[in-house]
Amino acid sequence: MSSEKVKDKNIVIQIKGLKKSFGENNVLNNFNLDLKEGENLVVLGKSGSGKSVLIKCIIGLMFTDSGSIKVFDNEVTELSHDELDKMRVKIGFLFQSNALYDSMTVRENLEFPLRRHWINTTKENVNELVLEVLNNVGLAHTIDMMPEELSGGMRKRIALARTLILKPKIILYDEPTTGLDPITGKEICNLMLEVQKKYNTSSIIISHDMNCVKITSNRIIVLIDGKCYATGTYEELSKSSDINIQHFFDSIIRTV
Amino acid sequence: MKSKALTNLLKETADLYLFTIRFFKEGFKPRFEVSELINQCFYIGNKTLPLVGITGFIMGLVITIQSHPSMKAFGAESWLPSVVSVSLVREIVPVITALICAGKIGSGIGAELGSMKVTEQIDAMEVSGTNPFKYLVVTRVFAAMLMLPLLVILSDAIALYGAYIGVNMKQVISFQLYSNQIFSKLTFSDVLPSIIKSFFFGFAIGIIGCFKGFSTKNGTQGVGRAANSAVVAATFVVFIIDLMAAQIADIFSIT
Amino acid sequence: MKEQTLNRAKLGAFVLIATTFLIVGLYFIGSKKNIFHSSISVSANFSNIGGLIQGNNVRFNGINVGVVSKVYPIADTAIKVEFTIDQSSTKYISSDATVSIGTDGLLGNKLVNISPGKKKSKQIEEGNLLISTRPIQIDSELRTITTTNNNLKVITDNLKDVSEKLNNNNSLWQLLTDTRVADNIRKAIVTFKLTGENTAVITGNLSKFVTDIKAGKGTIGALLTDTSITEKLSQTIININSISDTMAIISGDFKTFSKKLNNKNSTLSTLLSDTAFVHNLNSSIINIKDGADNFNKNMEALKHSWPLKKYFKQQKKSKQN
Repeated sequence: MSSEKVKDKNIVIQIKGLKKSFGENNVLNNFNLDLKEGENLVVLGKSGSGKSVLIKCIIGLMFTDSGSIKVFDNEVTELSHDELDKMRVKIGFLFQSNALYDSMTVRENLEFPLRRHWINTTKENVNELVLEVLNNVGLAHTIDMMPEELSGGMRKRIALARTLILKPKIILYDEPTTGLDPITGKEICNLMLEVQKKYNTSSIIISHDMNCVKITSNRIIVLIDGKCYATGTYEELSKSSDINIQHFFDSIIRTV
Repeated sequence: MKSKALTNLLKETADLYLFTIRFFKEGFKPRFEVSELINQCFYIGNKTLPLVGITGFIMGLVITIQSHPSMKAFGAESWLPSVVSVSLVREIVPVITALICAGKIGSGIGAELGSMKVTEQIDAMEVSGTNPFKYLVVTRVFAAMLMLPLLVILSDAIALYGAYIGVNMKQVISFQLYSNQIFSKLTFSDVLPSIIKSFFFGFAIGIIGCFKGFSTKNGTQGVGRAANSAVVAATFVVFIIDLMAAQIADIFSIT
Repeated sequence: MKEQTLNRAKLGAFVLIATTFLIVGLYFIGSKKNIFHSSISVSANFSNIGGLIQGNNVRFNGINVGVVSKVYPIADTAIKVEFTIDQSSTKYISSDATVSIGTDGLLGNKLVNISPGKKKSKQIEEGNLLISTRPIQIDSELRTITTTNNNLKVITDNLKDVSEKLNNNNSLWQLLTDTRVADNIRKAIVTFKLTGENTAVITGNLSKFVTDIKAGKGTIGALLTDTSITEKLSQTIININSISDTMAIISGDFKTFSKKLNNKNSTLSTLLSDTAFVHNLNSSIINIKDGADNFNKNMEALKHSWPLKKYFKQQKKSKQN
């Protein structure tokens, strides 16, 4: 999938002049971003550089200080709670720590967003959908297990399944490979690509795992000091002579 | 250092106050998470009952055994059932039950919500179109409010049975005479304030457990701290409420 | 899903059992308070209700028939007490029944006692005003007994004072001339009289009380269901009787004694003409003599030696000699 292909497509997320600070610490300072339909956009940055804050602002889990976030022409910062819920149906969010509900089985975990968003869905329908997404992540046999019985990679897949069950248009990945071994990480990254083809989603991927970035990215934004420091494809940035960008690509040698 | 601790305490009090206001704002608006409320009622009510029941039984037995010598010294041995039953129903059972629940329910809620907070499960709920405050906090607080009085009633019954056994250890008394003596001394103003009081105990235990859990920080370490401080604060508040209840009852001369 | 249904059933059981306990408990408490019974309301006026409050029991011949519903003053010396009587008990209570305020046990709650009327008159009805009687107040009786005891103590102290003065060897004449002593004796006699009177009153009251109890008269009999208390009370009365008997004798003696003291014309001669007193004086003088002898010996010892050991040695020696 080349970047040429998505160039003329619609913009689904547009962020302009986003500011967010915690006390004295300006985490995001005049940040701009465009996500086009069908694109895999990686936001690259060091830990604590405000990557997670960025996507939590997009989905409305955090409030911005100033700036605008437009998702499908909806201004997120101005949405009411109900409108925000409607918008969230179209956006999947994969949490860094998976955030599977410990007290529920895999099935109940997957049913949870369904029961919440579409109250009128029939029982058979729900069951069908659960099995479908579980098959898509290749874990149909775990349906009646508790999250604690699953391995880290499996949990990540279940979490991904839970975001997919609503058939979102956009998926936000918060460090999807953190805490996984490189091989499992690679599997998850391939799964992400698979899912993108199958569900035709656009995604923002927060990561500093260059292996993952290499596999998944169409475009990369380097986030330094709360600003968009550089942008480009993996190939373009890997050839960059900028020392700050080069730091990220140095790490690939160590991890592989 | 000292002023920092004081500032923290005041800040925490303010946060708890705002949390309580939020509870009243969101608790009475639809949508109501009825099925989750029933689940929580089951965990708070049924699962706590064995512990509360055993404690109640022991309290009834022990208070009777301990009161026996002094009642005997006054020659008022025959008053033992009525005196013990009044002190059990009015004060001992509600407070002991509340303390047990502060320990079990308060720490349980604190730890559960705390770990949900640090593993982003609360955020996940929000994203899944669920108001986590309603789904987690409102249900738990209401469940604690509804279940505590019921626990107190059952514990009252068990404690009075314990007292019956205690009385029978030193003298022989039929159950009928015992219950006659109890009910001739007990009044509505003994029972009703203690049950109303336990509503507030339940509310305090629930809201403090939820508050501590919801405001958990610093990862897994914070979860332990949240559970611990939930128990400490809930225990403390139970006593404060008890004091206030006694004073209010006194003002309205419900003695 | 199955588990959830089971849990719900358990929760239902929990709620049902607790609610049942509450309702049954409240019913039993309420049945006593007449909330769930039909009843009639009657009233009586008292001059003093001694702490009776709303909710106290009403008893007829010793069984609970109702509760006090309202207590309020209607004049400077009258308190109106309104109370309920179970419908089922009304046919046994006539409208000329008398009402008094009593105590449950010796130190228990106040209650209203209804004693049956004297004549066969018509049955009690809603709104009737019953005749009230002033009952024996057991706590005020107890208070009088305490005062009596205190008086006895004062008398004993006075007597002790007098006898000490009598024993004091050199002050017999002082005694006879000391007006303070005479005053004390007079006071003692006054207190004695008072005590005697009080005791008589109490004894009268108490023995009436006990007779009533023994006779099983309803109102008071209900007060004291414990026979041991009755026995204790009769014992107390006997004790008080014997004390007051002794008191009478002593006070009689003292009266004559003080009369003689007060007769200024022939104090000494009259005093000496009383043979009993002379006898006492004689023995006192003998005592005084003995005391003086001993005193002399002591003085001798002091004179002779320092330390005392030496004196005894000398005595020993002289005896041996």
